[in-house]
Amino acid sequence: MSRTSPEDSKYPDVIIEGHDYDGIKEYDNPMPAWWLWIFYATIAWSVFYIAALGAGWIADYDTQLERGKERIAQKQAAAAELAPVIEVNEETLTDLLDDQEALSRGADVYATRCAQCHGAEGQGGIGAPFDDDDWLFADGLVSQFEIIRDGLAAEGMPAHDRMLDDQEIADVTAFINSF
Amino acid sequence: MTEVSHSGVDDVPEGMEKIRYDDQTVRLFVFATIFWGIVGMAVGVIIALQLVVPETNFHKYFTFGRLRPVHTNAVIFAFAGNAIFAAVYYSTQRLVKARMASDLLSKIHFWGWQSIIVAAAITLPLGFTQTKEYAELEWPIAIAIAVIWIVFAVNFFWTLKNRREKHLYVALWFYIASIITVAVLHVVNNLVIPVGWLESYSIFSGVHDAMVQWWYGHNAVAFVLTTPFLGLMYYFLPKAANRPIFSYKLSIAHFWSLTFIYIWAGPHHLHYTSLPEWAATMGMVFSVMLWMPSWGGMINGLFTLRGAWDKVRKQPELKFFVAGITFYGMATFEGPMMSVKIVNSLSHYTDWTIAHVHSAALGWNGFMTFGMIYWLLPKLWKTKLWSKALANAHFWLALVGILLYVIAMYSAGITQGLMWRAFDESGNLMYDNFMETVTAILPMYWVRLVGGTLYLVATCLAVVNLYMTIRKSKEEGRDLSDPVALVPVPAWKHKDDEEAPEGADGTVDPAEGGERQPRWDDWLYSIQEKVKHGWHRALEGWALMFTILTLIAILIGSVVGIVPLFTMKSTVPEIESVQPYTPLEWEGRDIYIAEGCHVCHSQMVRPLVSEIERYRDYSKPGEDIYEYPFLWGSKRTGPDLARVGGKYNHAWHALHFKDPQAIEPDSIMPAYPWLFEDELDLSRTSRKLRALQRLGVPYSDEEVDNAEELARTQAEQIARELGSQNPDFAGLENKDVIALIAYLQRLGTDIKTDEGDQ
Repeated sequence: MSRTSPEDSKYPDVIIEGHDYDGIKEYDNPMPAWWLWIFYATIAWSVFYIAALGAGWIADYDTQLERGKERIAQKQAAAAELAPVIEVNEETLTDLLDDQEALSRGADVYATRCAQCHGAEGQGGIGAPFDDDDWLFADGLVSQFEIIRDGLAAEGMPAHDRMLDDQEIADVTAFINSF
Repeated sequence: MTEVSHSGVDDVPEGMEKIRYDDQTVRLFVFATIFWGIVGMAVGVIIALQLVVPETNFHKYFTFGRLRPVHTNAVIFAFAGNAIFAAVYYSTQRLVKARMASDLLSKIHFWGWQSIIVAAAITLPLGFTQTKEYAELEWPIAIAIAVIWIVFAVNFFWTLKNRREKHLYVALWFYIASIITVAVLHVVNNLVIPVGWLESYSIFSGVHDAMVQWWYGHNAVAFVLTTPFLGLMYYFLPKAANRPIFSYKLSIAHFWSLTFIYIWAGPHHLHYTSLPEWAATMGMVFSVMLWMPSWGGMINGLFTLRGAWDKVRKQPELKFFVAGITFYGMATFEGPMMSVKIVNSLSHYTDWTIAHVHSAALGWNGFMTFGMIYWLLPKLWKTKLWSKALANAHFWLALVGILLYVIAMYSAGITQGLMWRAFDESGNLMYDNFMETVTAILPMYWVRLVGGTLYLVATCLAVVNLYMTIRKSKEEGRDLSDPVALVPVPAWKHKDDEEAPEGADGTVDPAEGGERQPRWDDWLYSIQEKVKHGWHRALEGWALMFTILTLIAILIGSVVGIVPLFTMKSTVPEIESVQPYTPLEWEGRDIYIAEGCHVCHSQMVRPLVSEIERYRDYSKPGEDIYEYPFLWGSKRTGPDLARVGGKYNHAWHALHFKDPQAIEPDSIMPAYPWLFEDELDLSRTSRKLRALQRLGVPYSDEEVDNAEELARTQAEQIARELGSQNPDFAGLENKDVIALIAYLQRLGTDIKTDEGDQ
């Protein structure tokens, strides 16, 4: 059998005597060196990885999680410093009831966070309705604010303190009183 | 040694033997391959459509959750499975110069396998499932699979015993590894305790069950979709190209390294789960080490074509082989990469995995299969292929289909993975509503649908070519009776009872040297004779020892990888507050399984900060001790449900089942109106609890005996609460939906979480 790539002396393409299976023959070529070296490299890397993980040079699950939490906590702390500090009491919330800007901001929050359970028109459904004057669980504006912020676990109302800042909660408190 | 492909050879010359090859069985397997290929791909197109148009989940037995396992099983075991059998039956006979040992076993194998596929196609949509991926079929079918597999194995190994070719060719090594490993995997992963004719619970729970499943699941990929196809490649590629195999040495090195290493890699499916990190680490490093053993096959395939590239242009089957092997190379680079923990933390649960498996299944398995079929058609029907142009059209159309499919899924997977972990500058999740991460990738789902459809259409072209080629064969009046080959009577076969020393091929006559006293070191010379072409060459002539060594190679990784998990107590630290499900919750869990909720929803929060923000505290191994089987899932088409209990009220769930789009207008979840109509069946609850009790779930005898009553009481209570939350949902205490809500409300509530809020 003649060589197919004469310039490529790495693979002499010598047919092995006696290897003939239904006409299929085999060359006695060496394994490609790069193939063998990468294979050895992956084995070496595996040994290194296990050792490094054991020695703590590579972060394990727990360490990764702790670092991730720290990173997020720093971000949250920095954001908390910048967050609008507002005073929440019956008066400040009452003021918002006529504040068109607050109501319009509240409407946006309502559409994305509240409408799916309380209805687009505040008609209720899964959650309590807002289109009448009866408040099933809240007593006053501050109480409404607190329910939105902290949730009402027994009724399936989730807390929103991680999703909304105080200003947004105040805005949406005002908005649900506008139905 | 040459094959005479005409029948009716009457005179058998001295020293020759006549073999009739069984090609009829091969033809049947080819038909089955194409037929089930079309079915499996069509179901794939349907479920791709269901993901973008939820209304197409229009019937209880026609939802994504039930059809997705039909798709995977059809493609893996029906399409690829029958293709493997066609390859094995055609090539083995010719490689060992012997007809398949038993026509009866061949028939039982063929029809038995097709019956199993039909049983799967019926039971899976009906909701009878063991849930474990690619091992969903319930225990009677699983037993049938074991029986038929043994029939196949007996037929195969018996044929090897009858062989006239002393040495086993590399294709046969891969067949041997596939047959024995699949048997081991299948048996262990289907160990269940039956509670009815089509109902059972895994004997393993939680972490242990997950480990066994993914040891199985990953190696189903290895020993159903990889090694048999490498065997296929080693026979059909050099035949089609008429070129010698590039390197025999490489064949040996990559066969043994692949067989030994693959089996360890399973735990890479369980990174960042409750599986102990050491086990995941083993899965990861062995996956990385698997890269070159896999590429050995690719190199031997592509390098075999050196100097024959002009043939690729002319022969459509070679086009399929070249593209198929190239996809194999891509997928076996990508697999190790995805096994690296840091990459996996992004790719896991996303469409990246879907892209990966489809580049392998459509590219490697599909193209190798079609390449084989296009090469076989003229041989099996003794005429030319009806249309080369059509075969080429098949190739190009399918290639475009694959590229659209995988590019869309890579893009979808990476996009969604990044969105899940994105934080805004104030340290909150940027996309805390899961829905946003779904709507972002829906356009890609449409592209996938187009890509998949193209591939299906392309396959239909193969059907046309098959049909027309057969018609042509009939018109030409071709003789399709078993082809006959004349082969020399092998000398080595009749030397068995003679004494050493003898030659490796039985060619050296010990009596030649005349009278000679036996010497104490004759046995040394005998070994030297046997291994004069190398140890491996000797081993290739010793089929039984070859098989035993292969078995040992795959058992080492299996035992070392799995056994310590069961013996080490630290695997599952006990959590005292974790209690078994109530009878009603257990029934709800069974409905969850039957509906295939686990197909789209995981129950495994990973210890990643973005997951803890989204889903609360990460899942602990101790929470899963009563999970028979585990329901961690592998894909999040919807959000994780491990801690969904108490997150919403009953009315939210009821409405969400009835009309998901009423809550999330863009939701792609199907509606499940039948949950509100189907009567809750509690007649087997007691029996189920008894079985679980036997498995070690601490139910008291009283609970087991009164299971139905306990379930009724809890159902009434939940139905009352639901009715008071929303009068529209009053009076449902006897309906399936109540059990399902009971189950969901329980999830993740057994431990107090200290992370996140809710």
